[in-house]
Amino acid sequence: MSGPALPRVALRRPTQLEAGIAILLLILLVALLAPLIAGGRDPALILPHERALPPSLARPFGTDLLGRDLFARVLYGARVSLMVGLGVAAAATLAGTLVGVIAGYVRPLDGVLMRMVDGLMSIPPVLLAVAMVAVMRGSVFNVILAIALAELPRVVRLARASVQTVRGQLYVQAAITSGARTPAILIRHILPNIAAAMFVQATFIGASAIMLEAVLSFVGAGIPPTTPTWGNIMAEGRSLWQVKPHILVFPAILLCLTVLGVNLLGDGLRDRLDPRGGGAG
Amino acid sequence: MLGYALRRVAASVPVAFCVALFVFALLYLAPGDPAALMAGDAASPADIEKLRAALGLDRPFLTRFVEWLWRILHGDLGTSVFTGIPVATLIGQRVLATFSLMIVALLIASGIGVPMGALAAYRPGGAADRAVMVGGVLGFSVPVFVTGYLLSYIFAYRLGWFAVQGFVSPFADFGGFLRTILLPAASLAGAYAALIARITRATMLDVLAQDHVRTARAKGLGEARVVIVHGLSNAAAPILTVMGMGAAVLLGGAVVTETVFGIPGLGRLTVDAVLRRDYPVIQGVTLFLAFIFVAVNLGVDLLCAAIDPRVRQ
Repeated sequence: MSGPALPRVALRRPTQLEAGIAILLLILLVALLAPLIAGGRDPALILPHERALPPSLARPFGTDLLGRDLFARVLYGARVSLMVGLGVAAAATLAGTLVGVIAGYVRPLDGVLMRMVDGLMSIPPVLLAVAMVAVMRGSVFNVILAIALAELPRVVRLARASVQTVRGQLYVQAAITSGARTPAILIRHILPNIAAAMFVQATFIGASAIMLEAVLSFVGAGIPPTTPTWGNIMAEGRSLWQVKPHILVFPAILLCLTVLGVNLLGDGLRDRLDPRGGGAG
Repeated sequence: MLGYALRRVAASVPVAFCVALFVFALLYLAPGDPAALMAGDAASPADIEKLRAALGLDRPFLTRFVEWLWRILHGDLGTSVFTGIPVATLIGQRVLATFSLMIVALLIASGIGVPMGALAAYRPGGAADRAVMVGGVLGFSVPVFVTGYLLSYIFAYRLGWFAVQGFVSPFADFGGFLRTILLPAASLAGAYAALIARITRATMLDVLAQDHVRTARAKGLGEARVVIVHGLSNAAAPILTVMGMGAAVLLGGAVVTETVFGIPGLGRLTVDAVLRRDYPVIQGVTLFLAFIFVAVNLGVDLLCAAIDPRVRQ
């Protein structure tokens, strides 16, 4: 009666890549459809007589200390987290690859560039981002910029190491010998060969950026508290966390789930695209 | 060895210089006029101008950077705009709490990470290996403050085994120290333990496949001796290096852990300074912690060279 192949396919355990993609699609859907899912709950509406309510049917995640609906705030928070994750991953990877390729290919610049990168890397990322946001004032754009700068050294080091491996290969040597111009070598021979490693690392950068944004908002040095972000919601729940844990619990779950999704995606991509590389951590 | 040590020390000087340049430039670009801030609301523009000249704020970037560097080298990190206390004094008051937190977290993380990583490499695909894989993904995905609140809720608030907030000096009351430090250190150790377990597993997989390990087994050594003496001691250098680089995870995590557990440490000092825009304090603490990071990695490299002759090459 039933086809024999069908149930077996359905029962197969999902790979890391599939699990990661599934989680991220879910979060993306939540972010895009936030107004729809929130069903008319306003994330900014302050209702003083409904402060710190526990979860109920009408308010699935309860309310915060100002009486704002946490369900709506947590849903809208997904937008900021995804924006920061994508923005930082793109900015840090593009800028870092550029610097790393120059350092790895142009020998005379290598020493100076790498000492500067080592210096930047010596400032712990959280502190560097906190200090930069303090200087520039918190906005989503500035937070992305600060975190991207803090993540930059890791990208530069990987790009430089990858370029140095690739440039030693025979086909690159052959291209140099046959008189190909440097830009052509870089674009046609080097970049395509380091792209997989850089792309895999971009996902780990994204995961770390989402976490770092939450940390900045949580300690009060990130995006202004009026914007609903998971870190901001948790910062508001900080003072009463023992009696009103629901304020912390829901953004924390979403935050962990999102970072987990991006990390699974990265691990899965690494196994597929860059099996020998070590872009983790 | 001495030659290597000298070369390595010399190599960290330009790095430390770049750190100083970045930290200075960051705060140089900060908006707001420190002279106007210090002079107060009642000051006239002429007064502010006079104060700016007196503070040397009207001179070019390079002059100010060199002067600032000169003062740093003499141990003068500036003065807090908010409290008027020298930054070096503020750091001195807070350094014990942060370092205790980091050292206890380091002990917990390496106590879990190294054995788990070694076991995972000993039987790839076994229970320990899977635990390291899952623990690794979770360790990198669960932020410090989530672990912190979770541990605090269960072990401090519900069970009452530990203190919820605060810090007690280990020299004043060791029992009290443990009651306050263990939970924050455990939550701080999470991601660091995952990092150590991963690198230990990867390095041990390589080392255990080498010929000298087979020889050790062939001459009849016990498995524990093979793994610990012939395996781990040869894997020590890469593990130590990653632990040194990972010190950034601990330093950054301390900022969050201290906020969650109300520990008066350097992380809390920085965050409070950020909220008050107390730039000299931000500058001083950032510089101090970055120098600690450079020093830790210098120490790790020298240690690696001491225990592993291959590194010296």
